[in-house]
Amino acid sequence: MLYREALNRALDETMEMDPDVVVLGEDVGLYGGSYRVTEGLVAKYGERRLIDTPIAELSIVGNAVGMAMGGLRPVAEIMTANFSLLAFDQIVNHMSKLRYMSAGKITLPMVVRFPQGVSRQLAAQHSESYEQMLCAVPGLTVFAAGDVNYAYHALKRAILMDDPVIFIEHELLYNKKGEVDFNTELDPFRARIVKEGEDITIISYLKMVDDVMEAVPRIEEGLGVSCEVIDLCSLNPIDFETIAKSVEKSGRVVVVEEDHRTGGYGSQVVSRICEELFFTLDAPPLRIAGEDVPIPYNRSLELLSIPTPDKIAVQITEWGRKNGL
Amino acid sequence: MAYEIVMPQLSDSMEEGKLVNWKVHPGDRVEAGEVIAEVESDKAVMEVQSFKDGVVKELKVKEGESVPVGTVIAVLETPGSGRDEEKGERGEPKKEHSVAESPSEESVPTQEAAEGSKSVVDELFGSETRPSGPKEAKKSEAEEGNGGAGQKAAAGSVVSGEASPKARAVAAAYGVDIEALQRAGKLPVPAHEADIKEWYLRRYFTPKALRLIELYGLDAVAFESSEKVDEKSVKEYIKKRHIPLPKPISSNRKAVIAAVTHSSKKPVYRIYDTIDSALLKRYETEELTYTVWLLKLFAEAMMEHEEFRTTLKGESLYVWPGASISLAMANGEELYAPVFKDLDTKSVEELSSMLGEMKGRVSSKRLGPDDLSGSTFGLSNLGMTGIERFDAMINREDCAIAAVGSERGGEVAITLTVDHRIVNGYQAALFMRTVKRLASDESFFEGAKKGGD
Repeated sequence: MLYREALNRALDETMEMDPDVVVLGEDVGLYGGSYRVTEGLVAKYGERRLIDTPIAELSIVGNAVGMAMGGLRPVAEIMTANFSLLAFDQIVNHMSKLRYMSAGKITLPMVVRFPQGVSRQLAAQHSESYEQMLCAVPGLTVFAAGDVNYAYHALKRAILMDDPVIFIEHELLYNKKGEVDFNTELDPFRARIVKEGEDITIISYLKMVDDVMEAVPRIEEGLGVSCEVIDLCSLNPIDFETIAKSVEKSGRVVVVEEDHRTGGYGSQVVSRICEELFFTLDAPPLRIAGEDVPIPYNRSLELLSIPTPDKIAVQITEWGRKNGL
Repeated sequence: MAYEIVMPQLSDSMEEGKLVNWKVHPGDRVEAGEVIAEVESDKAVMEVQSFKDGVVKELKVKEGESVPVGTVIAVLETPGSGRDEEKGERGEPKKEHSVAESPSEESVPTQEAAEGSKSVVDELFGSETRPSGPKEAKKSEAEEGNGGAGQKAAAGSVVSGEASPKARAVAAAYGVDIEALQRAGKLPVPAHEADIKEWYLRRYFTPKALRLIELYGLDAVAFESSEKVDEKSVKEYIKKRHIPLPKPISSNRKAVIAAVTHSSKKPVYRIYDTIDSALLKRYETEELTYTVWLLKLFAEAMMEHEEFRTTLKGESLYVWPGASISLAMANGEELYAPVFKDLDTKSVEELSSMLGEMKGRVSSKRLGPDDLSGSTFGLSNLGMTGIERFDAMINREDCAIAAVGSERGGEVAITLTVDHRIVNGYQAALFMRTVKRLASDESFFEGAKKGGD
């Protein structure tokens, strides 16, 4: 099953289960979504539950907030994360805070889906990542689906939860293949140990998990060690327990993210590791992140601006050699 | 290449050591691990070993002289390459990197460095702080501070020297002075956890003691660190604390555990009987062993009693056409129950070679899934061990198993363990009667030699 099919199935199942679930966004209805995530749903559930909106992000999230307050379970889609900036007033001032402002009388069972990240030559205004801003807003749960099985289970749970969820997807993952285990419930707040290992803990999320996994055999061969790879899955709250267990074992930690280095979400992860796990560290933590530049259009430059399996392998190997491995 | 041996820190509180006597002279050849001197610390007289092979070039400290920890006491000429030298070299470790990076100039600058470093180190230890200097200061602070010492004591537990946080934590627990050891060139800069542990273990434990510690998964910190720990003291420790030897569970053992656990849930009953052993004994040869004859005997009986060729799966019983028997075979600690298929069609000679071939495969662990399935009945023979009688557990999906004891007074004890879901007591009793009959039927033995039909 493809990543986009897993998301489609999660939407389909929750819409069938609960008539209050509605989907709104640009081209989600007749066109089936720009990444085909909502394909076929309008035929099944009609235009009243798959609402094609104008190109107006503030109103998409604003309407979703209103629907959620009125008792529906809206799933809003932002076509690409950069466009969400227009909706940030609704996200930050309303979606995240109305439950607090109403002393808990209003709940907002809503999800905003965020396709994001560096795709292929979509240039600076269509390639960004905003998890760092979204995780800085108390009141929002932020999931990042880097895996097909997780995408299915976490989106379902996000829709059925009574609190607002930002559901981040990566634009290059929609055609990723994977197995979905329909029989085993999954806790979407738990990080996923993609690969077990002893000597280096590599923490990542979204598409970078795949890039890390591609780099790992070279790192392990180069350094003669084994790496543990963690997909964070839930960025806020973060599953620090899983991180701590791994770092206590390995003593060496690397955080890989696609986003710009300065102010990137990975800096928060490293900061917390240094604060809470200082005496378990046997090497300075390594951050591998995107360059502090607007994402270039030119494909070669685009790849130079973000981590790739090659860069990950080289940087971790060099860092390991310098730090006692 | 020159390798310098320094005054070791033999206990946490040791600041200087007195050289009691030399065990070697300049020009002597020494091996790694060989005792070269005796040193008196604040606690006891202990031996100093060389960590490298080489020839003693110079003894720098006279007998009876006291020098601070980290002072060079002897210089060895070691065979090693430039890389080895880098590790054994003293002086400023950061400079060593630049030396190692230009191997072409190796010989000249390193000798210079070796000579130059002596004075640098002497200076460091002589005029500036001695390795345990800062520690002393912290101690007195804590003693004076008393009430307010909580924070300071915590800070004091962090050792100084350039090292990772984890290495510092480990060094604090082990009482290792990173800074002094780094100055003495005994630890790399920066130091990591593994460096501290390795130094500590090699310093305070003999290789044999280390092997035991690893084997038993013991924590090295548990040992008193002021004396060299040898194998004997680890053994004593193990005995005193009643520490069991951890033994990893092999995949074969895991399979056996799963199988017997499964088997123990079967509703079984047992039938105890004996068979006449006179003919078995008479027909037994080197090739046609007891086990061969027993296999043939039970196979023959199985053909007369289809319940013993029956298995249960789901809602249905399945009656198998041939007599296939699983035989318990041990290979040291490992236990297998390979299947001998369609024994009703095999002569005892064929059976004998099948058994020999299977023994080879068991000992080389070359058993495929096909070798481990397809039976309906099991056999376990412990007669050769002299045991009189025992119970066996039913293998896999078999309906029963026969446990064969040793021959006594012309009889062999058989215990039949039977799955009541498949075979009832009356049927089992009839089966046993057939087995007894065949065991004393000469025509069966003669026929079996000719081959099955």
